[in-house]
Amino acid sequence: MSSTLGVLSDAERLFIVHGVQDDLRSDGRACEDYRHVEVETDVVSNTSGSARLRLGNTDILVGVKAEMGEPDPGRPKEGKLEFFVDCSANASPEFEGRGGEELAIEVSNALQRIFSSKSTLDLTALCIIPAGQCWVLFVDVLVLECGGNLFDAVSLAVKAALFSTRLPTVIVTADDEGQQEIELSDDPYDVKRLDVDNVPLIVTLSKV
Amino acid sequence: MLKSKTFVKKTRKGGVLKVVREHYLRDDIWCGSAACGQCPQDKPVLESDPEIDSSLCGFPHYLIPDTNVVLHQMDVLADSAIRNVIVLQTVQQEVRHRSGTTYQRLRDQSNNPDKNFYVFTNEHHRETYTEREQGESSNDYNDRVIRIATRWYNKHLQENRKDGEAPKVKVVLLTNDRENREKAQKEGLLAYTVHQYVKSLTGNPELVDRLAQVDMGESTDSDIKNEATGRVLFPEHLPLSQLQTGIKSGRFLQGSFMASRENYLEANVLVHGDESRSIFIQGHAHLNRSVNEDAVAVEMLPEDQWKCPSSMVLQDKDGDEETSEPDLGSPKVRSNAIPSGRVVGVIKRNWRPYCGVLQPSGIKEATRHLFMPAERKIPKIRIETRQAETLQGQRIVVSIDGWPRNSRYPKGHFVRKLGEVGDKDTENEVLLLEHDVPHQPFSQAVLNCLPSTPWGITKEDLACRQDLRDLPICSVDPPGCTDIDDALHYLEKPNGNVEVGVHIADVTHFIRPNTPLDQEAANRGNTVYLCDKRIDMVPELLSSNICSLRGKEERFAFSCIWEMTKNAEIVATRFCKSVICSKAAMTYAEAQMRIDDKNRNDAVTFGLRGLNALAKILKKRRIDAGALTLASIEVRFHVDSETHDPIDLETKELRETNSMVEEFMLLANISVAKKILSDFPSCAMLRRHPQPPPSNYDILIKAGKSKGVDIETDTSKSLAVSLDQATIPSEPYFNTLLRIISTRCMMQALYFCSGTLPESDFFHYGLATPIYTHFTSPIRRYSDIIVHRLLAVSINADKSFPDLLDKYKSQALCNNLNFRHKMAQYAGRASVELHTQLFFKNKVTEEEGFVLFVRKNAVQVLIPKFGFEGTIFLKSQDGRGEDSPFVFNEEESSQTAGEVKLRMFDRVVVQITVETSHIQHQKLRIRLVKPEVPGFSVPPVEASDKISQPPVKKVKT
Repeated sequence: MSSTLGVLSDAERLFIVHGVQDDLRSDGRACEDYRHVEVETDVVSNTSGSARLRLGNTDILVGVKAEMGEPDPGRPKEGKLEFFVDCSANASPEFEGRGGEELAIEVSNALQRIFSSKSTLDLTALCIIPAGQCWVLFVDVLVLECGGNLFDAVSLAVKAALFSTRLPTVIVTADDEGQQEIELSDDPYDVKRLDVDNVPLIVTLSKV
Repeated sequence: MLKSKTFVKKTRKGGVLKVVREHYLRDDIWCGSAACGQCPQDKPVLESDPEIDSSLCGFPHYLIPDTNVVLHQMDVLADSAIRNVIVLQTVQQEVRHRSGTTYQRLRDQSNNPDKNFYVFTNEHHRETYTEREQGESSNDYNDRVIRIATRWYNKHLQENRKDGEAPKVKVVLLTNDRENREKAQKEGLLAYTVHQYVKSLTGNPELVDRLAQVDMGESTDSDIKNEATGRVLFPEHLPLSQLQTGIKSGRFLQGSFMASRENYLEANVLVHGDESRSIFIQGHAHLNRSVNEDAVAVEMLPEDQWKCPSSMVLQDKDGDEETSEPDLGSPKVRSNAIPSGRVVGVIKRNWRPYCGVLQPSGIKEATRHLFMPAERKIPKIRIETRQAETLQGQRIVVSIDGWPRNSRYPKGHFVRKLGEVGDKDTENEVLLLEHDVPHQPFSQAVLNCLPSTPWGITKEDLACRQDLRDLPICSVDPPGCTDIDDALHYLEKPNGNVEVGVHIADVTHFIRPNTPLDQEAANRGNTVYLCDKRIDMVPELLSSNICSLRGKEERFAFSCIWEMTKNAEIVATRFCKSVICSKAAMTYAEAQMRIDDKNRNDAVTFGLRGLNALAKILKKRRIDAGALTLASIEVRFHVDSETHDPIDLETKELRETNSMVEEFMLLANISVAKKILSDFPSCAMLRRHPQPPPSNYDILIKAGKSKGVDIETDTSKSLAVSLDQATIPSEPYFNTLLRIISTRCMMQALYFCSGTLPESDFFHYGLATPIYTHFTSPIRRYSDIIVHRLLAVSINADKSFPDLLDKYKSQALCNNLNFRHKMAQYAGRASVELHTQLFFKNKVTEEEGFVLFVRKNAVQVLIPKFGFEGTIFLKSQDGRGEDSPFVFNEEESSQTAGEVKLRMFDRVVVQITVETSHIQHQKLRIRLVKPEVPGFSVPPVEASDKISQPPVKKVKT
């Protein structure tokens, strides 16, 4: 930061320092104020859950797709979450070509890390047949426009999308030989929601 | 307005898919009623003043049936009395989902302008659309949708009456679901059960008989107890989901149920996907209410409970509800036991309407009757009718509705009357229906595809065809043949070789792909020949005129021309579309006379002699390669020209010229097969004839052994040789009998698409050729039409089209053709049987016969003169037979009574009569005359009673 400050004129520097001292930014916010956040859920009808979030100029779309899969052998009673982040070239000129890849990996690693904690989301709720079948939630994050606070926006959008996710109710029946068979409820309203109360949000701070 | 419909479904792999469909709501869907003054519709389907006499609804009304009413009561809805019906889209879709055939019938009703059936797309109508509510089952939702549409109609018709003059039309909801009906009535709608409604139709009391006897929901539980018998006779069927998991885990096997023709308590289940495997089922409880051709799930019995087929002929004759089972042979004979199982559930019923007669009931005025189907593989059906009196002695059609666990017989309802038993037209209709032969007159759409008459050859036609009108082409066919599809020519070339041409009617010039004509022909599959009738595959204008290669008329042909050495070695083959002019259309006899007549030396006669000489070489070569000559007796009836009753019959005679034509047709078929396979390796339509599994020959080998003759069956060649050697001078008929038996060991020849099988399976066993197809009879077989199209594409004479090259569609077509071919054969045989019966009516005939098979309680006898097989029962049918003098010896297949021993191939004399004591079910009765068995055989009739052969031969009509 000091290097950038170094190229500022004295007047500009003074303006910033005074702003910090008076707890006021040039757009009228206080230092610890967030920009206005808009969240909309259920925006993509053919996903299991989705959300779109706008935070200032940052624009994020998250879709959750639920599929059936096999649980990890080490965690037979848990479902899985997979994250995929796409920083499209539309979002920022730097993302052109493979420019956004590194950032995308960084974001998805952050998400993976958050959700690997047991207290974040109860993954056992995604279990269908222990060591047999579970729900795998594919969380696709699309960065439509990048205008700062990317991590914050993504974490918030993911939480909103998971909140809106509806998993069809599954009934497991077993025949006399122990063969387990999965049946879906034919009522589209018969769904299961996820408890996202404990999903954390990321807040980015910058020190002047 | 745009809505979206969302639902989740399970994919085949076990995944879960969320499907979202856009759903548009419209405000321009009209009500279809002529009584409506609001909807701007062109031709309203529903009449403004619908008339039907109902004591329940004494006002003009339209009907709205719910899904179950359509599914179960289609026979009522299809009646001409029921008109002005609104078919809701919801109902139509659900019906389509549940039953393809009912859906098709519903569509037929909607397409029939006389029925005034209107399909209302309620789910796309803005005012009748509704979303599914939370917690609502899909059935409740559908019922609610139907009620909403009914309400809308009532309101709409009331508010938009045409200037007051039209009477108020109401809408009546027909539903057998009690809950739905009560809800509808609460909402102020008119709702009745079908039974209430149909019984109220004062003008059409006969409709009541057509009501299907479907149990209404859960109420049957109490009914079961109320019934007099109160017993549960059959084990429960497992639910479908359990069957599916069972099949997946291999605990159950899925297969098609094939009832035995000879014993109503036995059946085989052919396992799907493994056609050579069959499971034997025996006894009421194990058969468990399966009907012939149902798809069933079978559980194998442990090996110590396996049974062996009781070599008994058993017909279900007692009409009582008893389930006492005759002793079907001791299960202790372990050596002969075959894999047996029991039916645990039905996956898909394959019921169709069945033809038959009503069994006379002991009690007068009874309404419950038993129906006896004409097809012996189908059980008797219990029906309710009030018109039993008028139905006596009539052929009727009955549909099965269900088979409750406490009923010995399935329950059904009367569909329609065909006509009097024994009447020839009625019986013909029966056998066409029973064999699923499409025999309705061609529709207008089909007839529109025909060329206009008078038809002539134009210059453009000539430009793209070879002009072969000058060649000495002639055709040789059976007498009375009007659909001539092949002609031949023979020329000597200057280089010492000869040119032989086979010219086939160019049917594909007139039948273009995917026209209604083409689709109809593809569905019919082939022309069906009955004794006195021909059911054409294509309309008569084509089959008997424009396509038929008649003598001295210019016709289009598809020609296959070979250059051969005089030793019948093919030097070159070419194919072309041509124009020909046959010089003579001859019968086999005429052609034979020309060949034999030394004084005739015209080009055609010269050609015939040349062809005949070549054919002999070809035939010898074919037989040397191992082609089989099998025997089956074909008879022809001489028919009275006025009454069309058969007055005499003769077995068909074979002349040299028959086999001459046949040889060249075989050669043409093989040449074409090679050509289309090389150009279309994955989609050529070919014909194969698999080698039978060795076990099929057991009966033949056993039969041979009984006379000390060894039959080798390793290859077709060794079989042919050993059949040739199997002669016994003292028994001239022995060889023919053996050949008849070997015919029955054979597999069916099948059409198939070359891309679906490995090349090693293309083999044609009977003809001993590695590849074969059908090219030579496009007028009467659809397979030949496809082959013509393929060949035309490969010589650049015609365009290709996508379906032709799609091997899956092609294989699906083959499956239909195979089915139709089989059915046409059966129908033909049934027709011969029918005529045989008519022939023996009011006669007592004695004839020579041969024992073909020996069963536990009967012998089957072939009567060569009439070409049919009959059964002589030696014991009463329950198999106990203390009163019978015969003793059965299973080891050597013989029946002994005192000094008389009946064995295979034994010559007997039998008396043939038509059993008239049982007017319901006329059949030929055969009784033993010689050898005489005291107390069993019948005395010979007086010589004067024997029929005398009319000396005058009449032409087959």
